[in-house]
Amino acid sequence: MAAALSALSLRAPGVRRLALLALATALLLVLAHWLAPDGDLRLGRGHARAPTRGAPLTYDEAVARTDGLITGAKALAAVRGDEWLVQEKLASPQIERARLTGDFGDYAAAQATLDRAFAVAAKGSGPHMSQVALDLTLHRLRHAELMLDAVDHYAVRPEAEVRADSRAARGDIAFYRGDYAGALRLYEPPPGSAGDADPFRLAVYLSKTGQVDKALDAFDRMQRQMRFPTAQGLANLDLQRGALELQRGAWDKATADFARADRIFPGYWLAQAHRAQMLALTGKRGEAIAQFEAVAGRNASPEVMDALASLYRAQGDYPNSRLWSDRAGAIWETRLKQIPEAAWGHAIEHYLAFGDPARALDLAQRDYAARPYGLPAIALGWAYIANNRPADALALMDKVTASGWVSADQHIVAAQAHALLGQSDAAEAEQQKALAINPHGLDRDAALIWFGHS
Amino acid sequence: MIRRLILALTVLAASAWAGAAAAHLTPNSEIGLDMGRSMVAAEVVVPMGEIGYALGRPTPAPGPDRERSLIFLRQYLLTHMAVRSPDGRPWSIAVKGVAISDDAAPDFKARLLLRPPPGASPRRFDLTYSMVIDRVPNHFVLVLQRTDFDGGRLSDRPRMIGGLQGPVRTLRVDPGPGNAWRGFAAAVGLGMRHIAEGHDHLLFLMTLMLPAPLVAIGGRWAGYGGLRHTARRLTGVVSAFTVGHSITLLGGAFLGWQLRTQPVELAIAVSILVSSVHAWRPLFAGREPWVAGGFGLVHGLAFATLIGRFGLEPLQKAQSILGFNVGIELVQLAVVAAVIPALILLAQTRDYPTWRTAGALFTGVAAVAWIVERVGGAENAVGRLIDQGLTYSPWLLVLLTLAAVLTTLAERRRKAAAAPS
Repeated sequence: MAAALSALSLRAPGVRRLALLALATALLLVLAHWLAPDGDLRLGRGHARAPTRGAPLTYDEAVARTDGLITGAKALAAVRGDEWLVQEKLASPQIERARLTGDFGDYAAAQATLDRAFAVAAKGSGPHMSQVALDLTLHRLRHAELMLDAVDHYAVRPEAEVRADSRAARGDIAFYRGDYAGALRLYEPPPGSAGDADPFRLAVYLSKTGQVDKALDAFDRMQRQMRFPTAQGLANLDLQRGALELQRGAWDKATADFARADRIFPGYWLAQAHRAQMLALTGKRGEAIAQFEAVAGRNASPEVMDALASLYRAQGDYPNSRLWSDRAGAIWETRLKQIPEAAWGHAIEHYLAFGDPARALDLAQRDYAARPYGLPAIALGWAYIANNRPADALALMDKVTASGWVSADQHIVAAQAHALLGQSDAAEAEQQKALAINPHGLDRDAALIWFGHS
Repeated sequence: MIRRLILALTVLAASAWAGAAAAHLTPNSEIGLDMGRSMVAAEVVVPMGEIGYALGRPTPAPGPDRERSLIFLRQYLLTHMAVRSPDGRPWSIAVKGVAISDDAAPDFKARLLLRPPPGASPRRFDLTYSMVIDRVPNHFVLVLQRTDFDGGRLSDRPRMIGGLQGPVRTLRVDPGPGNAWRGFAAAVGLGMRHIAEGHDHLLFLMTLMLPAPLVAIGGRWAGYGGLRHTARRLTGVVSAFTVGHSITLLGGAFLGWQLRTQPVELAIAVSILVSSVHAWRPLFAGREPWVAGGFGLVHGLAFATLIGRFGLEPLQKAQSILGFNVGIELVQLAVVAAVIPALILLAQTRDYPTWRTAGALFTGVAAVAWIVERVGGAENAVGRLIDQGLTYSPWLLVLLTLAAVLTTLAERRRKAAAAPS
């Protein structure tokens, strides 16, 4: 025994050599761990959570469910249409359906129902919070604010839950007006109250102010807090995560997130469109075109058609590019007539890529006037550039950067504006800033990104 | 509760839909300029899709149609481009080649030589260009300065000069005065940066240095061979590596010796793997200079891909290669000077086999990770980690020196304790 222990003694040359080797390896590992940046070697985010079976598990089921609810609510409204609560019960699945399909007809139907509800509601009552939700989706900040003012003047003080929603919605309005600090203050619970900020809103705030990792943490927290996560909710979270990864150039991670969204909530056209886009970005253009066409066949989304037209254009297929951009253009025109303020922000891209730059500028100016925050400002910057107004674009991008908004796009716009003004050093500096945020920001294929680049 | 749900979901949806215009929406064209002493080389790259969109017709498929299209495009370019000196005199534009790339999104590429009229400076001119932008208002043409030897600009990354779009169709190009010394100094700097940041080259050299102080006996590394032995081996390895990479560097730059990047990079990773095995067990003891020279030829090809394109005229090219090589040698010598004292100290201790084995293991793992990356064409976590770790190599050198001193002191104390009083 003693001999064995002696053989194992550190004084024995072989054992000592092994021990030193193990120590060196351990040191290397420690060093490696210390040197590894948080993001790159981190395990995947958004660990899978099974969706509740109490809600639709597929897109088709979800649409069928909302259709069923709408049918039931319409029957009830036919009998008790003079009750605003009954009308609100109908508006709710209509909004839900619009959210699923992206169809402006569904949004218009929901608005018509809410209009009927207000028409029959007694003064000082009505579906104000549902209207706020719809207003925020349709970019009607002023109207949403009027609704919230009405809630504040209810004869009976609203319950705590409504008050919290109202405060958060005011935070959203502040955010969309470019007052990000004000938004954050309103997202936090009022002084003296318990609880935390809504993780989703906090995540959006963080992601737009350059704190992407914290935003992803907030999304994870939100997912953990979901008591009964729906397939649709989980898929939307994955789309959000993927969009953040896309914006910082992590195309692999974005692809994985979008694929997970598609798996969790099968048949969802928006997730499929994101996946098709990633196929295009990774050079699988034939597959991307096939997938985009399949999505466009099921859902008449003009964004999908524009993406398709852009892809055909990059391939040099002018006739097909023109075919799809014309189809998209017709739908955008309809939408601009249906709900103009909701369409401005999305139609700009179409007119910048395929249409009249002057029209794009007009839409961008209207959108920015309605929602003066980072995203419409950047769109307006592009429109200025397309209309040979680089100095205006530059002034606007300076304002965006000063506001605390952080994105590669604002620096790309500024770089292009400087370049057009012949200010090469400044252009170079802006390019570097863009690349620091998104290493793929200046890639040629980045022109194929139509989804998730907010 | 319904209200809360609606509000939360709607905000969620609103954000998922928030894809308003934020990206640049169509692929740019690019005009890259290489400044020479008597002329300017230009490369014009225009996405064929954008040409098709501007002209309202599909891009021709490979074949006779495409060949006919090239003739048209050559003419289209020449009628949409002009260069003039600031006094208004026109430059000559010679088309050196036109092609359409065969990838999924093909580009029209034209190589041009722009020559100023007699007496005019090649460093100051007005570029007028209207291809595509005269018909597609949101198409953007980026004008880039790629290389400018006399301006001291030798970089992988082109510098933006300006942009052309819509009615903005003329750009003044004026990079300022230049001279040969600026170019030479820039080439030295580039060589220094390249070798200092190219972890694989330095790791190869350091791995060959690991067994340099030792003598091989019976297929194993034995004890320390002495200062003269170490100096002779090191001089042989470093000189042979220099000769090797200089040969292919010159051949690549002047004679057009070329291999595809991937096999060259792969061979470099293999050279590190071979060196790491040799550091563990002697494979070619005494013949290290030959191996260093042979692999130096491979490393030189990689250098040539970088430096070969700098300098338009032969004299500029020669100056850039000379400067680049001087830069490489300066860093190599600095690394040898920094590492070798520690290795000599460690080689005299009985712990050196462990240090050498750990070093060989580390470089072997790095080499395998890089081989996997370079074969597969995709990064892996190990390779990324090693690359990140090696960015701290100055600190690792400090640690190595400290460890060498401590190990030597411990060895001396041990020997002193073991010696008869």
